[in-house]
Amino acid sequence: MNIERTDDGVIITRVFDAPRDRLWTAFTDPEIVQIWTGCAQTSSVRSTADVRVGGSYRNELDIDGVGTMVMIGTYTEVDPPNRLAYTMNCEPMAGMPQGPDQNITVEFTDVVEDGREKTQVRLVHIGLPDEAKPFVQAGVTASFKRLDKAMAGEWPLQSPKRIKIEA
Amino acid sequence: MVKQSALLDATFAALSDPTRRGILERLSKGERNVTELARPYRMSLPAVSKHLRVLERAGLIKRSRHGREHHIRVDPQPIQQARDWIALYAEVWQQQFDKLDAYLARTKDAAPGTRHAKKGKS
Repeated sequence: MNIERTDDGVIITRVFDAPRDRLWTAFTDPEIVQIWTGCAQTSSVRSTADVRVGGSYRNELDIDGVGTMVMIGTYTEVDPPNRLAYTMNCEPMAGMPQGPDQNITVEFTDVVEDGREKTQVRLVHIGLPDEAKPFVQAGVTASFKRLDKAMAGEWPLQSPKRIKIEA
Repeated sequence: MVKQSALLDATFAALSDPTRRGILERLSKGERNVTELARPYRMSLPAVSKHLRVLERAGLIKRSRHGREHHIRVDPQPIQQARDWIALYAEVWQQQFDKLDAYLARTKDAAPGTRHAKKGKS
C-alpha cells in the first residue's frame, strides 16, 4: 500500500487480488460496504446507499469505546467500473458543529499480476483542515517518525513540496 | 478573532521563509530568548524580532516575559493537528482496506462464470 500526502489530503493506492467489478461492487453494494467500512474498532455497520449522481449514502457504525457514529454523503461521480466520487461528513448532531464536507475519489484500474486479474484502487481523500495545510506543504509532517522526532526536539523542516511515502 | 483565511495566509507566509523555518527548528529543541535565536544568523535583534512577529501572528510561537527577557517557544498545536488528521485517515484507510482484502480473499471462490461477489457476512 502506498500513501502519498498532498496539500489537502492523502492518496492511498493499493492492489487487490480481485477483478474490477468485484471492487466496484464492494464500494457500492451496501451489504458489502458494511463488511469492511470503519476502523479496526468498528464492531458493526449498517449501510444504505442510492448510488447515482446526487444520490446519498448513510453508514451507521458501532465503534468500541466510542459509541455509534453516522457518516453520510452524496455521490458526485458514478462511472462503473472506473471511477466513484462522493462527499463524506458526520451526520449533524445536536450540540456538535458539523465540519466541512470531505471528498473521496476512487479510481479502479485493471492490473494483471502473476497471471491473475487484479485491481489497483487509487483513492484520493481530501479534507485536511485549512490550518494544517501549510505544515504539510512545509514538510513538517513528511513522516510520522520525523514529526515524532520534532515533538521530541529534533526537527528538520524543508521548503514546501509534495511528499511521497512508501508504506 | 482572526478570520480563518487570514490565519492560513499568515501560516503560509511564516513557513515559506528559510530563516523562520530555521528559527522554528531551533525552538523545537527548547525555549530560547531573542538573543540566542539571532546568534546563528548574525542578524540584528530588530531583524530577528521582525521574523518572530510573523511567526507569532501565525500562532506558531508563544512569547513569555522573564524579567527583562522575552522567552520564545514553539506552539505544537497546529502541527499536531496536521499530524493527527493525516495519521488518522491513513490509518483508517489501511484498516478498512485490510478488511476489504480479507473479504475479497474469503469470497473469491465464486462459481465459474459468476462475476459477482457472494453477499452476506462470512
